[in-house]
Amino acid sequence: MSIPLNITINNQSYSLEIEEDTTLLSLLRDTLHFTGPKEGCGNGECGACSVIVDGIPVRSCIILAAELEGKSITTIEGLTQTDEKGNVELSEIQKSFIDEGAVQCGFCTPGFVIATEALFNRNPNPGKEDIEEALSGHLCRCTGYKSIFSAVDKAAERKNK
Amino acid sequence: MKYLIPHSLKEASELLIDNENSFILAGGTDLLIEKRSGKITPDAVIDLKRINHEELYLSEIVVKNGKLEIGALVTVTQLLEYGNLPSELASLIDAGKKFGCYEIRNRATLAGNLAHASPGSEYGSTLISLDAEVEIFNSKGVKNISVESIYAGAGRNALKRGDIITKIIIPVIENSGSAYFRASRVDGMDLAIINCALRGIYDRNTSKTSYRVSFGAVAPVPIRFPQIEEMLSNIENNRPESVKEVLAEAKQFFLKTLNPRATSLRAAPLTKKILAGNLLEDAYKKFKERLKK
Ligand SMILES: Cc1cc2nc3c(=O)[nH]c(=O)nc-3n(C[C@H](O)[C@H](O)[C@H](O)COP(=O)(O)OP(=O)(O)OC[C@H]3O[C@@H](n4cnc5c(N)ncnc54)[C@H](O)[C@@H]3O)c2cc1C
Ligand code: FES
Ligand code: FES
Repeated sequence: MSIPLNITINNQSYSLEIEEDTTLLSLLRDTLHFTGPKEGCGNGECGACSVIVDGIPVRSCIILAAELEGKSITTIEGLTQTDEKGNVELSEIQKSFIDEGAVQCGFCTPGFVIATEALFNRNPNPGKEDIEEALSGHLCRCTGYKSIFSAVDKAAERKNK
Repeated sequence: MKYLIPHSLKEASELLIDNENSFILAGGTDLLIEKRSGKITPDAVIDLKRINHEELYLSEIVVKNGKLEIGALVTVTQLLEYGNLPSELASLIDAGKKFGCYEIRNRATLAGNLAHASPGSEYGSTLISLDAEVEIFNSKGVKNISVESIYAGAGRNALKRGDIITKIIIPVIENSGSAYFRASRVDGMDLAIINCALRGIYDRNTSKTSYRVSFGAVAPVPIRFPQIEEMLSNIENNRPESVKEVLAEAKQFFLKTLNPRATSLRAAPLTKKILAGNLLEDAYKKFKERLKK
């Protein structure tokens, strides 16, 4: 059976009819085509599907969309700015990931970027341990993590300049 | 599957009874994974988070009458960030820091952790060592039971249809201290190979310390070892070798008596037997260090 859902995604409101057992990840990707969040494991273990719900980062593969009536979601698409000519400007975090070579296949990147964004929002000056804690549940098959930590450091530096 | 929104605990309990194959939904970090794997095929989930604010205490942590009360919707992150946690209950923080990862802790509730009844969960052994109780709501009213009696078997709780955990209640005892340690294959996100939680209460009159020690993932449910508790209480305060002797005795005890299943995905039985003694030592030492402060 379908039920109504009012939800805000990247500052835009949606009034939808959804199936009751649709996950947030499936709603985002399959219905609304926000394909930033990725399905890595589908089991909460890899972090590729992470999004921010009312300021808190969570794993969208293990949340029902129905749970989120009235909530506000930020996906990686919501971190960019688009000007009136349609030019897209990446966020500082995204730029730092590119500059530090922290993106290889890119599958894990939206999760890491979202986790970093949420970290900066709750702690503008994170130390090494805070960063490790925020990213510890994110898996990357390609980079070996070093470049990812450099990217987060660089983004923090740029942000606090 | 139906997604049901109860407006009160009473309604939630009635919905559980009216819908035979239905489940309470808290953080969903176990439930949705079991649903996805086909282990359960719920006809309905009842979202406890949508209950009206008359039931606000479900999301609160409070210290009341010498007890810490943790509402059923309190997440691990909320507990870790709670500023007024009595220092006697430091093992709750030890366990929280090992729990999953940040995003999982943002959703996972302590009550869901107990209801899932996994043998090696973080809060099973921790709350048993702290002599905690859970408050259960059902149509007949409210009752308290010990955390130990929530467990019916590996992954099976003893709740009856219509029962809802509403809070976890932990005594805060003067001159006591606690610690929790776990061993896991990787330091990041992994479940415990085995875990150990310890609480000691120092009696100023007799200068004796009494212990509760609970282990996870050595049996189908987290268990206490009265023999180990007794051994620890015999440690002599003014003879440092006595600590070594008792811990050595405890290690022998585990080698002889533990019988973990050989089919564990995480470690062979001998590894668990050795780890049990080592974790006990870690927990004991941390407890002593904390008690001094
Ligand atoms: C990636 C990942 C890592 C994890 N790491 C750990 C870890 O390190 N340590 C650990 O212990 N666990 C871990 N878990 C397991 C899980 O997160 C915990 O068991 C969690 O505490 C479950 O709580 P929840 O609120 O998500 O419960 P839910 O999934 O919502 O519910 C779990 C079960 O309890 C029942 N239930 C929930 N609340 C109540 C209630 N108030 N009354 C009655 N029944 C109720 C539900 O019906 C369901 O059967 C992990 C899970 C994932 C996905
Ligand atoms: S897809 Fe959600 S955590 Fe892996
Ligand atoms: S860049 Fe490929 S998984 Fe991280």
